[in-house]
Amino acid sequence: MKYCADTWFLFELKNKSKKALELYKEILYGKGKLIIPSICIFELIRLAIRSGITLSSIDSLINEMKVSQKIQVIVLDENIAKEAAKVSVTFGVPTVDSIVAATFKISGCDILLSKDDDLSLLAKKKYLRIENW
Amino acid sequence: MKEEKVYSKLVKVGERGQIVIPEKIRRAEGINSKSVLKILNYGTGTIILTKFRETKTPEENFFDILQKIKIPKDSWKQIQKERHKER
Repeated sequence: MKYCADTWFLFELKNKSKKALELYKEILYGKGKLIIPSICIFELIRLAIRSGITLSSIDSLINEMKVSQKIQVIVLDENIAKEAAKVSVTFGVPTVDSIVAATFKISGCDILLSKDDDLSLLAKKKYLRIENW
Repeated sequence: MKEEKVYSKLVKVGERGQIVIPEKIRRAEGINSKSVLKILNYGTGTIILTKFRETKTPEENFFDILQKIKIPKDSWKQIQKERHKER
């Protein structure tokens, strides 16, 4: 199973929510993969910088993702940009949400882990499959 | 050149093959009752004990670093607000 993590899931993991931990273990020790849109990494790092995290900790976080076989950061390339623009115009979704949704679609994910209202709307319109708790 | 100091002490092997690591070494190396040691035997009468360090996977390290990041509890609400600013 290929999961796409919205920033919400990263917070859930950080807060050690029971469901997030179960899912993370399932991904790590099973056949799953965790896809993280680069825009979500941006949101996480921006908050971390505001909270006074050291740059070396950020570098370590990025390095671990780079060497991981289970976590993959998907950068915003021209295909994702094109799809995101279509999503934004078609469904009236804000920029970040449309990039997350497009990353989900272009990278062939099965489930989006998010509690975002606009992304839930896209799930209702059958654009993507969403899971939250 | 500074000479390296090697601590050595004779210990007796017990009935079930147990030995006691001298307290001085335990304290210096941070060895306690839950520590895991690796035994290396070269078959020539040389037996080496080393502290076993469990290596973590990148995903475990990622999780550990994530825990160290201090972010407010209402971070998700903040993110939602920022995402919807353009409306």
